[in-house]
Amino acid sequence: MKRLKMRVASRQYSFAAVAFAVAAFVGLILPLQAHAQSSVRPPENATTSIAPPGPALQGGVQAIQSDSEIWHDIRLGRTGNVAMPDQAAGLMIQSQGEDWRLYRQGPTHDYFGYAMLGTLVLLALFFAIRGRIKIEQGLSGIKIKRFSTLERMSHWLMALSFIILAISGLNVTFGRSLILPLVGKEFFGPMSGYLKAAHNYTAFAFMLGLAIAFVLWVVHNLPDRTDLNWLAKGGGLLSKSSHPPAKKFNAGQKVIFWGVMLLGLSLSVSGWTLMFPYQHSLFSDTFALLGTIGLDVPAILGLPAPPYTLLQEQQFNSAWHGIIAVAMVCLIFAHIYIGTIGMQGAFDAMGSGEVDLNWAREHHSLWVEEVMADKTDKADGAVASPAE
Amino acid sequence: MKAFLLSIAVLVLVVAGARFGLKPLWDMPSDKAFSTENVRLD
Repeated sequence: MKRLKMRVASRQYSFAAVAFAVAAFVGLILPLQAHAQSSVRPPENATTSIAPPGPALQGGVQAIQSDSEIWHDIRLGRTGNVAMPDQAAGLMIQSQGEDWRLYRQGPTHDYFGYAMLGTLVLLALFFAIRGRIKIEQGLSGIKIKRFSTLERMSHWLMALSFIILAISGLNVTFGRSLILPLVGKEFFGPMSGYLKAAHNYTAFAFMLGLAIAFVLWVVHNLPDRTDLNWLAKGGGLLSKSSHPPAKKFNAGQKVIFWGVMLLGLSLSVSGWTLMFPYQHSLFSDTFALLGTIGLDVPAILGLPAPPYTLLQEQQFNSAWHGIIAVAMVCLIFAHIYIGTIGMQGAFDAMGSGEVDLNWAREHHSLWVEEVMADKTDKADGAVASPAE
Repeated sequence: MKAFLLSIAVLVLVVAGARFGLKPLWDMPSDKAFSTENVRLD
C-alpha cells in the first residue's frame, strides 16, 4: 500500500516536472526566438525611405528595383523627386523631346526651305512673264504726299527689325547645315550666340513697329466693297491697261497688312513665351477653347491629347514660332518684290513719302480723289477766310 | 531718308533698352539660383 502511494506521488512529480518544462519552453524559449526574429525582420507597419512602391513583397523581404526596371521607368518619362526648387528637373528623359528633335531635323528643315525657295521661284517666274509693272501714262512730274514721316518710320522699324529677326531666326534652323560648313565651328559658335541675343532684343523693336503701324493704318485697311472688285480683276497685276479703283490701300495691300499684323502678333506671343519659358500653357488653353466648338485640333494634327506639360508647351511654341516665321518671310518676299523691282514708282511711297500723281491715279484712284477733294476744301477755306 | 534714319535710332534705343532692362529677368542671381533654402533631404 505504501509502495502504491509512492508510485502515485512519483507520477504526480513527473507530471509536474513535464508541465514545468513545457511552461518554461513556451514562456522563455519561444519569446526569445520571437525576439531573435524581430531583430532581422521589420514589423508589418514599418516604413523605410528605401522601400519600393507597391504592395508588400512575399516574406516581407525588402528589395529594390532592378536597373532595367529603373531605366525602363525613366525612359517612359516617370518623374522622380529632386532636392531642389525646380521639380521639373526630376524628369530625366522626355520622350516627346525626341519627336520634337526629329521634327526639327526633318520636316522643319526641308519644308521651310521648300516654302521660301518656292516663293522666290514663283516671283521670278511672275517677273519673267509680266515684267515690271510700269506707269502707263508715264511720270507726270507732279508729286503727291502718300505717307508721313511717322508712317514711314514705323514701316522701316518693322522692316529693319524683321530682317534681323529673320536672319538670326533662320540661323537656328539652317545655320548648322548651311553656315557651319562654310565658316567653321570657331566662328559659327560665337556668331550664333550673338545672333540669338540680337534676336531676343530686336524682337521688342519689331513689336513696337507693329503696334505703331496698327494704330496708324488699321482704319485704312478695313475691308470694303472696292476690294471685291479689285480682287476680281486681279488687282490689274495680271493684265496691262487694267487699273481697278482702290482707296489708300488696295485689297492686296490689305492682305499684306492683316497678314503682317496677325502673323506678327502670333510671332510676338510665341516668342515671348520662348523668352520667358515654363510660365504659360497657350496650347493647352487654345486647344481646349477650340474643343468647346467641336474642333479637336490635336486629333486632326495627330498630336498627343492635352493638357500638356510646360516642357511640351515649349516644344509646341518652338514649332509654331518657326512655322509662322517662315510664312511671314514668304509674305514679305512678295511685299519686297512688288515694292521694288515689281512695280515702277512704288518704292517712292516708303522712300521719300511722295509718289508720282500718275502712279497714284493708276493704283489708288479713289484715294487720289479724296486727297484732291481735301486740298480743294482747304483751298476754298483759305480763300474764304480773309473775306470773312 | 529722315524716316529711315529715325527708324534706325529707335531700333538702337529699343534694343539697348531691352538689353539692359531685361537682363535682370533673364539672368538669375547666383545667390538665388544656388540657394539651399528649399533643399529637402529625406
